[in-house]
Amino acid sequence: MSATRKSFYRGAACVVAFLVLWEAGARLFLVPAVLPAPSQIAAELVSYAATGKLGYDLLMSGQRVLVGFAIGSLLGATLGLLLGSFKASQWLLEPPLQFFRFIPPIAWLTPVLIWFGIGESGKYVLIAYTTTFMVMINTYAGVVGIRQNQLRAARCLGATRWQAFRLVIIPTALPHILNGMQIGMANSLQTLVVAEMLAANEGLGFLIINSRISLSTELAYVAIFLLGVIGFLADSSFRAFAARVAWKYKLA
Amino acid sequence: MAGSYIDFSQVDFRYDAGLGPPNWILKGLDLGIERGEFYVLLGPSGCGKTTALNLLAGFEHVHGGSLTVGGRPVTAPGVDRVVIFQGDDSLYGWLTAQENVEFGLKLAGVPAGERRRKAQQQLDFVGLGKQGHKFPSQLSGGMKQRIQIARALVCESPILLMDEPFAALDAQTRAILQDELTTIQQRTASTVLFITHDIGEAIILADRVGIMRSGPGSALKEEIEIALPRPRRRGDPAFGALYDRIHAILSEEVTRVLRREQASQ
Amino acid sequence: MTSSSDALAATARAAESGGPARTRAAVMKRVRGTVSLVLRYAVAAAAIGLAWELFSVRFDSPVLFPGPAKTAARAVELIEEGRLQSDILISLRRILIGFAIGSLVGALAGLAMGSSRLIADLFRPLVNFFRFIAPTAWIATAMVWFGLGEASKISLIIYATVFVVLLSSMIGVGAVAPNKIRAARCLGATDRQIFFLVTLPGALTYVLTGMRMALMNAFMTVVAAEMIAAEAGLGFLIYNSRQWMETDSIFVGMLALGIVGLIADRLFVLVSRTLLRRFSFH
Ligand SMILES: Nc1ncnc2c1ncn2[C@@H]1O[C@H](COP(=O)(O)OP(=O)(O)OP(=O)(O)O)[C@@H](O)[C@H]1O
Ligand SMILES: [Mg+2]
Repeated sequence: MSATRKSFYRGAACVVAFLVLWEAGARLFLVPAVLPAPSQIAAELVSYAATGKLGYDLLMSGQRVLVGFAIGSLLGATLGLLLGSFKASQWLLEPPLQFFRFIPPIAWLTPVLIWFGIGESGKYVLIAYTTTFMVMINTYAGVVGIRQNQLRAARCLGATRWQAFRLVIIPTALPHILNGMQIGMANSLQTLVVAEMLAANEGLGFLIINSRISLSTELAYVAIFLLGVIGFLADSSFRAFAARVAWKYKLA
Repeated sequence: MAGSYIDFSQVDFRYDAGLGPPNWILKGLDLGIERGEFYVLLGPSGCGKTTALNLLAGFEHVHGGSLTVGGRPVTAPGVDRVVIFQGDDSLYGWLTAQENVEFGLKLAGVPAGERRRKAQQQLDFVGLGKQGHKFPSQLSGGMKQRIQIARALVCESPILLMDEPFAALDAQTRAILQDELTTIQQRTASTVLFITHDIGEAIILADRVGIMRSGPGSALKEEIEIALPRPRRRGDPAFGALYDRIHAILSEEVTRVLRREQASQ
Repeated sequence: MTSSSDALAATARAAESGGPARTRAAVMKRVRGTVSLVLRYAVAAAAIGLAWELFSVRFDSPVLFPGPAKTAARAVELIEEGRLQSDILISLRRILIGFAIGSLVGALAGLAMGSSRLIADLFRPLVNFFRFIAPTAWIATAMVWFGLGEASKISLIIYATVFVVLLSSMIGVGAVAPNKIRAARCLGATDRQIFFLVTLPGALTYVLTGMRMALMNAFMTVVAAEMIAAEAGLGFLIYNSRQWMETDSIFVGMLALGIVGLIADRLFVLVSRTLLRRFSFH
């Protein structure tokens, strides 16, 4: 207990020192256009939130991520389970998967803009793709890496193919699916920011890029800060979920 | 061996090595096990004992010769030939010990109450009656092995395939389980293929012991009938004589393997 | 993928255990592995090409969805103009510099945080906050601080690399089996010796795994940065071609990204295998 408390105080001290140095440095040596002080950013956060516009930006960004992420997770898990379960699909599909892995989802932004325009659907597609891919390759790796004896045990205890899939393959893949979703969420946020920078009139990414025109650097930092908070919350809720609900299904 | 209940006749098996020369593990293996017989397979490490068991279980398929059970060729795994695997990596980490033991019954659609009762009985039998709620990661190696044994026994399968099931146990538990296994096997009249490296264990358990040659292209080198009355005791002079005989045959093979390994270095 | 790397690993193991017969067998095995891999990739490429062709015929719009032939022709043009090579080189250079600096900093910081309770306690909250901010969110800031030149892109890639490597190095130090450290200690090793002879080799696998993930992040970040703020590079090629509706150039850029990324990853795996064999006890 006291060891945990000691860690906490040390961490807190370091954060405070960091903020104080930043505040002093920004106020003494820099203009806000280069680096605003933490207090200025906080003030901007409050005043912008008071106008109600921040809520709208958050709503739009959140909606884009959540819709795309939900579709992508479902699709990715399904595809990964199917791909991993059939030898033929492994042989045929692994090379192209390996290849597409290295085309960053962000690169698809341009064709997606051409095909879907700058409306919402293009953003959903982009984020769904980002998530699908991550979840799919993780799920696939989980299924392929299953311990052979676990499958064999099921077969010799009388499992049909469907039973083996439901009772052995899915539980084995589950932690990998969650892991893929966790990485997919982080990547989705990256994709989202760029998509909103280049093709949106609202959202956190738009706030960041627009600050260059509106000359309100503080607002860009508000958006960056909120992105960090969202990323952190998403990640911790994943961990909490894994620890509460899926704790039996640990990565081997 | 034609006509035996379990019948390996002229069985060949290789692991595929792509375009290269085939890697023959078994070549012309003849082995017959009668219904209700307790058959123990011995042989140097890597000679192909597990491979033979995998063929019988239906996990792998022969590349030559034939393998039949009750006259029918083995094509796929089935609950009539339950396997106790070498090592403990076949337990399901997300199920409790109890749920692991119930797994086969669940697949067969046995109602939950009966499932629980039967599983509990087996857990008691392997001495883990109070550990059923634990997960495999919370159990020791020997305990996990006993869960695996319970998981197989609960299916009451006519054929049991056991790959070094007692290797991870302490000597006392092992002796107790050996006795119990003999009792069960005689009561249920099941047929057992049992792999071990322990000559003493082989003599205590077996109706017949088969000793394999060292690989590659291994087959049976010699078979020895164990006609000692049960329960068997290690102190028995007949036991000692059998032990020496089997030991001599085995060490000849093991020395051959070692010498070959050394020569290739 | 795995089959070739396994073949390589097998070759290496066999080569170490010596014996001409074994080595020849190993070489054969390696050749076979390569042949089957090439075959697989050829089949996959043909299948994708065919699907692509069918799709573009159905789409019937060379502007919106050019087929493989048109894309290939465009690739040739871009290569003859010298643009494709220079864009690839420019992107690669940014990635390599950023990745190298980021990995070094990340590994050192991660090892330090893994080995010292004090350092870990001090910096954990800050690291845990900043690592969740998408590197792409800093693009505008990087331009303000470092201008429109190389420095801004490289700094973004450093950011994208550092946290991934840091975290996995830190985990790596924690994952060294306590018994290995105890064994070294009772053989009389000093703290320093334990760090260099036990902890470091043990954590190396994790450092390298983190670097491999970071390499992918670096590719992602460089593309984003070049789309928003650059006059050259693959990201620029991909985004800028949209203005002229040159979808074929966009496809060429994306294919180039995939190929360069794949090669970089393979090279990295090869180098890390060698390193691990040399410095780690497995
Ligand atoms: N999946 C596989 N692929 C290729 N070769 C294999 C594979 N599994 C086993 N072998 C080889 O087959 C031979 C026989 O293996 P097997 O597992 O049957 O030996 P074993 O007699 O059970 O040995 P042990 O007593 O050590 O368990 C060994 O030489 C081994 O290297
Ligand atoms: Mg074996």
